[in-house]
Amino acid sequence: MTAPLLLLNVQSPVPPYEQIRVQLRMLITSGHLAAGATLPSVRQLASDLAVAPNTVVRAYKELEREGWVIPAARKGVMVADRPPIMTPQERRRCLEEAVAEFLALTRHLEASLQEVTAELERQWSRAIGGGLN
Amino acid sequence: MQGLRLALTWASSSPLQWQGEMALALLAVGIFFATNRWIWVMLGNVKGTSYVHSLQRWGLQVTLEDLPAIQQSLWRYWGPILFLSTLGAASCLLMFPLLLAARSLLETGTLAWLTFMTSELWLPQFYFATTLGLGMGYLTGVWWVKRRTRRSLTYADLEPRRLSNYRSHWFFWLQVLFIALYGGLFVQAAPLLDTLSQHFWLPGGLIIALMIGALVLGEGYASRIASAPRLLVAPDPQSSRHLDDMVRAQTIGLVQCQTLITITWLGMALMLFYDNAGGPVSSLYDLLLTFLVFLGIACWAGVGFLSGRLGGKQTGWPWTEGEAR
Repeated sequence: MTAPLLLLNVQSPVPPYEQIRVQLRMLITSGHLAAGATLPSVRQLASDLAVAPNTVVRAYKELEREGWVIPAARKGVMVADRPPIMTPQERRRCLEEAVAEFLALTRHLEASLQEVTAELERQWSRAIGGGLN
Repeated sequence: MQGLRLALTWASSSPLQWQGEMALALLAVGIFFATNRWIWVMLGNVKGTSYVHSLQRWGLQVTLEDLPAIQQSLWRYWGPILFLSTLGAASCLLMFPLLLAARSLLETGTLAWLTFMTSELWLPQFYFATTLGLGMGYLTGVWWVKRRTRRSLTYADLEPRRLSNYRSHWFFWLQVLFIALYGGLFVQAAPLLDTLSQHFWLPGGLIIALMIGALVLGEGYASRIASAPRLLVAPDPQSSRHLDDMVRAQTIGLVQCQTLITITWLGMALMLFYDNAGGPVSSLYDLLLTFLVFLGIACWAGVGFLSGRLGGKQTGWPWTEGEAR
């Protein structure tokens, strides 16, 4: 299975730490990040996403507070053995947030619904074919 | 061994001609190595099918339709780094004899100082000039590309990136083995040679220390490349990641080559000390050292041939295509 990716849109109205937190939570819930998996260091994640290390620290702290991840000695942060179960309501809220963010970006491009749908379908089929998570 | 001695004698007999030819040859080789992947990308337009196949071996899900966009990404992000690295190496390579000639003319009114570049000395001189130039050019290129490519969308891996992802640990132990063998030979022979050639301990020890230094520096640099931020940000993050992995692994392969070259050249320098010391003990050690030098050259060529696929957890070996993620 291809390792998952974390995407960050700096133009999104959602703060970067929140984008990181929501995506990590979704990846843990969907099983793409297994229990005990080591997450990248604050430094690596911050430099890849071109954000301040404090942004990543804040996201990790929030996830730790919610019980999704645990600090591991000398390993940084790990996915908790028994992460909390996401309720259907929470899942729906996450999906709404993701779609709202996506639409905010497409509005900048002045893309029509047909264009967005066509591109979404193209990338969806490609992602399924290529094993994109 | 005899051939090597003859080559060195010939080199010493016509220093200026030798230097000029070597400078041009090294420049050509340097430019070739630095730009071959660039040329490869450009030629991809001509031989699209084979290029797609090569990219697929690196785990990229690409078709011929995607090729122009991928080539554009490589050209845009990797091209300037290669160009500036090559320019830096070529500049330093040409700068060195020019500075030496200028200083010689200023101080003595002749080109006498150019004789410093004869026989044994040209190798380290050219080597350090090109290494310095490549390093400076590379850093400038990375800075320039990072500055130019600030994008609204960024992506990150969700697993730690380590050197072992791109290169097998065996290569580290191979280098340790080389240094241990050189060190062992040195410790064995130094007391005997020291009586024949005064103060052998100091330069010999320095060479071994330089080998260890090259190993530490090479490992540190390769680790830094492995953990460096993602550089290529193509429209599709997955393709971008695979491209980045490919370029990253190839750069680590080049660093590995450079470290092996350094250790081998330092071994050659140690060999010259044994040569100069003379005496009955030197022939056997000379032979062993020559064997080690040729082994080093073989390993260096092998690493270059593997083109970055050095058995890492992600990049695999070239003959196990399935391992490339």
